[in-house]
Amino acid sequence: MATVFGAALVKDKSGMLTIHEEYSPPKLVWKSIDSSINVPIIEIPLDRITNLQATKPSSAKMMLNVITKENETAAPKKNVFAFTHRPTMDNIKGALQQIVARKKTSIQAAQQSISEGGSNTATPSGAPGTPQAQLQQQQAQQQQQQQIVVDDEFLSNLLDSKRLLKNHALQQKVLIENKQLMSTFQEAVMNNGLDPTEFWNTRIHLLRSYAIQHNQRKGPYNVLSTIKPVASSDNQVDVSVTREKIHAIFEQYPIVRKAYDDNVPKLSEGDFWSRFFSSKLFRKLRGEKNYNKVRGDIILDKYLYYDPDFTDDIQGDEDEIGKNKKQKTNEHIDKFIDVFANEEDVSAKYGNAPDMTMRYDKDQDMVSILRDMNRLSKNMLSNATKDKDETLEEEEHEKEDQLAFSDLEEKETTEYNELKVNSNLNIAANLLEKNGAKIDKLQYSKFISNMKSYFDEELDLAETYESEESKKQILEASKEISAAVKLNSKQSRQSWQISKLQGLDSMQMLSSSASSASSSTNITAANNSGNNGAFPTPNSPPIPNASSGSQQDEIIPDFPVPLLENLRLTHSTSIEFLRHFWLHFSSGSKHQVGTLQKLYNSLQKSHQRVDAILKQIEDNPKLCMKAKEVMGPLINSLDKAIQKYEAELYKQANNDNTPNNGLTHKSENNNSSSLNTSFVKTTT
Amino acid sequence: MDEIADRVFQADDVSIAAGSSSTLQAFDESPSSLSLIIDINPLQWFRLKDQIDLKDLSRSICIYLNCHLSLNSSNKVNVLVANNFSDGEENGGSKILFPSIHTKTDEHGSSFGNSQGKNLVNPNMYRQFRFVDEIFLEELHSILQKEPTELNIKNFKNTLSGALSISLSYINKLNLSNDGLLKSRILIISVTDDDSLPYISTMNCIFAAQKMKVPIDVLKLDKKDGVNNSIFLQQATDATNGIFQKITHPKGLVQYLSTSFLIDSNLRSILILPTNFKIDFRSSCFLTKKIIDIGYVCSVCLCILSLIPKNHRCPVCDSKFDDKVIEKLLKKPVVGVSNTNGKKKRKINSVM
Ligand SMILES: [Zn+2]
Repeated sequence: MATVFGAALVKDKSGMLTIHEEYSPPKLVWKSIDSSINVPIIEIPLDRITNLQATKPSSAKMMLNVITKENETAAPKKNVFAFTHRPTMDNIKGALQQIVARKKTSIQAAQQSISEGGSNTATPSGAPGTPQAQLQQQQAQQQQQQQIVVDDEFLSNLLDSKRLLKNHALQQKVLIENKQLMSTFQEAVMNNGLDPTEFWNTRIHLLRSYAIQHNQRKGPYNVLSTIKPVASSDNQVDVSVTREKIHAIFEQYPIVRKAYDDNVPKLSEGDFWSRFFSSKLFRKLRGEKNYNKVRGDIILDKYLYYDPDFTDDIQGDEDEIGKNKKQKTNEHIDKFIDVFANEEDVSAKYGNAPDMTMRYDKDQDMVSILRDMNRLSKNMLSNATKDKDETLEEEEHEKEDQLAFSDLEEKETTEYNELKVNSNLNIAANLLEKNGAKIDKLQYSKFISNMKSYFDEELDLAETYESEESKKQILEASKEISAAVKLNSKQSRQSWQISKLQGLDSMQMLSSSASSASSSTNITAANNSGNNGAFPTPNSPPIPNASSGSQQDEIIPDFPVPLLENLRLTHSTSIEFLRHFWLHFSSGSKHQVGTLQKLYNSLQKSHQRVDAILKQIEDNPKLCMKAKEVMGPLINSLDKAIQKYEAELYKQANNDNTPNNGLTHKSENNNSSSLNTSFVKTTT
Repeated sequence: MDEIADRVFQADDVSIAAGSSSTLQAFDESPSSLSLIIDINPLQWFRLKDQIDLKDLSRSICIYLNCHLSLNSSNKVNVLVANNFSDGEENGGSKILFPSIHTKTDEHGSSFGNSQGKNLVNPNMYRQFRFVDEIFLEELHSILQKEPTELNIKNFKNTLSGALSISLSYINKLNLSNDGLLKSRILIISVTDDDSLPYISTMNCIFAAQKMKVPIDVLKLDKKDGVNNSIFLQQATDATNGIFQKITHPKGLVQYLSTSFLIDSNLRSILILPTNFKIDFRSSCFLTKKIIDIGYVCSVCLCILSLIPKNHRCPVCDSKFDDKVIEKLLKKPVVGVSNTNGKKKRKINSVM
């Protein structure tokens, strides 16, 4: 980046105005051109600037007023520069604005890093480069690795089913995040005495996935891409960087650490970062394409030309970096993948031309960005899996793998297990066995004979609609179809609303297709018999509307919300009990007897709850019917489970040589009466 | 509108240049093929004789076919019967009625009329319609002639899955010769309960149709008080975005055909379909053929059983079941009484 300078007049004396950014703080210096006159040099340290004024672009005069303050209490001092060339002035003005903005930012950044770093240290990661800091870093890494091991152990412990069942804190968290589960839990466990272990036993997968979800560690990510300088209204660049981010930047971009080490004692911490975020270096490392078009930063941008893989091994003095650069170009590149080598042996004229990354002479900036990104990815990966050192053999093997054309290799064929399907099972059952018995054979023969003469005479298609009965039934059919569509549209209201949003009234579509269909039938019919106006079309295209469930609508409007909620809760609780019931019922374990009995009681209570709700709405037959319909499957399931249990109980009691034994056993239970009544039910 | 049209085509994998007018145009003009399968189970038709007969059905079908043909000049139809008896030779089984393999006339139809030279439909009918209708009626007539009048037939089976296979093959052939531009659908006019169908073949047909994106519609004719037992067919419509309607007004059949069952497969994703049945997702036992709600599933071939086979082998794929698992499955529930050895089979795994 070139130093910004330009001709400017101070008190009618011409001179040269220069901004020296390499100093910290940067300086604005004006020197008279005419050395014969003794005009004092004006030097303005730019951290003193409090205000900047310039004449409007429309004005003929071109003046720049730089207002400075010696210190907080001093009176502002004006420094007026006059220009003869507006672009010169604008250039200087722009540079000053940026520096002033950076200054403000750096103050903020410094404050932030102080507050975040706490009392420990204001500089991120100690002062990297110093032996002490290196030690600190090593310790930190070790700690991190230990943490990983601990985490793994911790996780495998965590995922163990038994431990999951004991982890009440985890269970609580899951419940808090899942409201529906919470209400089931409250109903089934808290209100109806289901054993919480029972409850969780069927939901271990939930606990497990929650535990995994919340114990995942974040891998490394391209930290610079997450930093987005925002230009605020007052020409200020707002950047927020946390200590962690700074640490990550150093880890991922050794070059930044190098720059930091080189400059920070000279520059202030905050100044370094604000310079960094407005530098070309920052933009390039972030992977921006047009990094060269920004003004950049004179101090940090020289690091653009350093080896980005700069590491601690090479002590950072300028000469050595130069050497390193040379080394880099002499580096041995495998001929097989050497793009430069390709140039010597061009097999096809445009072989690599379409792929910009493979061209040696095009858009170096772009390629170098890509390389940077690749390098970064490599760094991140190698940081992520710091596993054992590869042996030479493995390395060799890896190299071979890289060079192999894997896409040219033969594909492995999938092997299948042959299933020998018993085709005897795939035969249709004989219909006569099932249906034939009750049929009057004589009538049947007559019917078949009659059928054989169906088409002896010309078929009059008009007969489909001419009779009164046909007309009536066609009308009924049309009503039925409309009703089905209405019902289905209500049931899929979501999809309905979507289609409505898309500006298409699906019912109109249907009715138009329906009417076009019936009109074409009319043509056929007319051809046939000359009769017009044959088919009754649906009276008026019914347009179902989510809100207008009124008129002659057969569908009962939606349930009142509290009732619906009530039904839902009862439903989910009952399902919960059913689930556990079948689980234990099927286990065949003697140890489950007690649990099973409790569950049986819970099922009966569930049944009573359903009945109670239905009873509540008895006075509204329509609603009651609808509720019965939606709860039907649940009632069936409950009945089935209860019935199964009772049948089993009855059977086992009867098989027992001393049936009384069973009864006494049961009478210990306070629910014996209900059991006895159910016995009556099953036996009758 | 554009979005909807686009969506339809995305769903159907048809590559047509984007842009609303062209897609809509293609959408409007793309021809479709209709395969109609008629279940002619005489036992059921005998039961239905007071409400509707095959003659009534044929009238409505003629109108229906004409409707379909009139919607687009390139539309195609294909009519099949699922016959219930088979003599193991030429007669019986599932057959294609249209296009006919017997009528060797050209499309300009020099041989209209049945074998006796009579007209089967009004001779003034539009030629294209008449051509299709007459061949359909003629072929149906000749199939009915072969129907045994006596009831004591050995092989009297539901051949619907065979008819479905044939019609899917036909559609596949059409697709190959039309670059997939022809949209096809199948309508089954069913009178027989389908629990007698061979499970594997039927399910294979359903999955094939699903994969081919061919909607299967089902029109079930049943007695008013008939207990609907069309589990396979309901599942078929559900899986293929088809329409299932149980017909309660047989005399109004033409209304169902010309509205519900005239919905082109292109329009399925837009319209709310008039299916009037709640789909029963239960399955039937491979051994007993009974519909079950709780049963066993073979982990190898997924066949469904209501009981554990005695030889502990899968009846379909012959896989040996793990003894330990069987032992576990055979454990009886222990309830109330603790010292029990009851002999009860237990149920697992909801199949639903
Ligand atoms: Zn199997």
